Amino acid sequence: MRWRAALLGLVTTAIAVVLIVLAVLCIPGLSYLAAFPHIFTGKVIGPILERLPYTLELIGVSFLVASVLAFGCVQFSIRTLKPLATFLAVVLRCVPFFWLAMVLQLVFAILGGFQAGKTSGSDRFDLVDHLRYLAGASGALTLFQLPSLIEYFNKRLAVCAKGRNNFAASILSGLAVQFAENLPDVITATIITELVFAWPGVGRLLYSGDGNLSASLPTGILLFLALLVLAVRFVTEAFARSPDEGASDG
Amino acid sequence: MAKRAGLAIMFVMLAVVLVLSYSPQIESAANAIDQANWQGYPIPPCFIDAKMCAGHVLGTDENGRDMLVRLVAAVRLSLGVPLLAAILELIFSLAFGILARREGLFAKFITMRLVDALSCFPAWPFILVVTVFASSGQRASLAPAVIAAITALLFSHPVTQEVAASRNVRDAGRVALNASSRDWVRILLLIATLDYFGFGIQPPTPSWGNMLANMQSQMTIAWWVAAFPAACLFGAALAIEVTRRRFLA
Repeated sequence: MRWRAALLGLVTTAIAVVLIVLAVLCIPGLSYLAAFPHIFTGKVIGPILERLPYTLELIGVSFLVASVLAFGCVQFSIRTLKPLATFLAVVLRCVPFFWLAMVLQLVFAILGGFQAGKTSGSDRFDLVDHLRYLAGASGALTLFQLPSLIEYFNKRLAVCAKGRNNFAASILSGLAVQFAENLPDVITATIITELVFAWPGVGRLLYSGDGNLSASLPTGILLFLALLVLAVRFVTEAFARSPDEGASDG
Repeated sequence: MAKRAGLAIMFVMLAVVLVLSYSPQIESAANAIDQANWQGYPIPPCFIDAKMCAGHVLGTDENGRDMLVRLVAAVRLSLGVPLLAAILELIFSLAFGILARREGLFAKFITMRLVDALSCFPAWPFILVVTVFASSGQRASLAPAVIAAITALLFSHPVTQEVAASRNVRDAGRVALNASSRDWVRILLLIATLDYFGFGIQPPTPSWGNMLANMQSQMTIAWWVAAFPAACLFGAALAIEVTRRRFLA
């Protein structure tokens, strides 16, 4: 029953997503609707699939690092200074992310030897360079994801302390739900990071593709990102059990 | 009672700042170049070099325009557009939420699917694509009210869900107010990011986001050009967030 409901939700929401994309495509004129079928040709889907691993790598690495950091931060602050983690979360939430990324990029340029004009993904780019750029870009994205994860762990630990739920059992499913909820914001931050750090992900493709108004490329990226979020939400809804659900059961 | 008084004071202060930023003197002074003292590079703030600053308390930008006046003038759009977006989000999510509470599967199902679908789109690329399409490929921007409306629609999902699940209309209103004020900070920073990348408010009209547009090249030469608008953004976001946590959460 749960599967059927989730599947019905997935299909109908996907239809609504496609309709919204069609509406966006109509903004310059109804004739632009002809560009929609081109989204599914190799010219558009090819570059998107080529760049997607870079974007997913960035999101995945930063999420893992942010989760570990947030957990450590909450544990540490509970043992020493209780409001420290909350304070950190509030401050990080209020810092303009593009500014933070830009400052970090400058710091990495000075300390890590980032070279102007040399972008990750180019021919002269070896594994060491890749890891160095990944460290810089994922560092910025980690700081973006940290506040929501700190707040999540703070809430989980409070529930655990009241004995209403088993923290260890719900941590993974809870993190998955948290990840799915925040994914659109994380994608936005990833695109900004890709632009600032010259990371060759989907975001850079979107930014470079917008100027000449090749309508199918930006629309395709938009559709693809929305369907990606939808798929992640479907998987978490179908497989991961919400921690609040567990708490109420307990 | 103290909470309500504090909240009222906060809103009165915000209204005063917004009204000040609308004053014609501020508006005209914001784009005035200091022809007498500007020599092609930013003039430093008075606390760095009292002789060189020529009366510009926070220095000037790279074009010789007074930073302090521009920061005050930027309040109007930098805070006003996100405030409008938060109010629209409140209205949209209340409308969607009340529609979703109605009897009948059709209204509830359609409304929630539409809101679900809108929440799947990352806000920044969505607005970027809409802006580029609406301006026929030119780097122009949408009207701030349109940006506010799109942002409000994209962010209305969690609030709509909470409103739909709340017990009565009064509860729904309280929940929606809290959630919209929570999103005000998100919208403030999102719109600043749009301005920074050139898809929001266009220069010479000042906004804290577009004042940072040249910060990459200026950061090592004139740090104040990159620091003060960012500090204003951070300060405004922090004030809103702390007030929300103290009075509404």
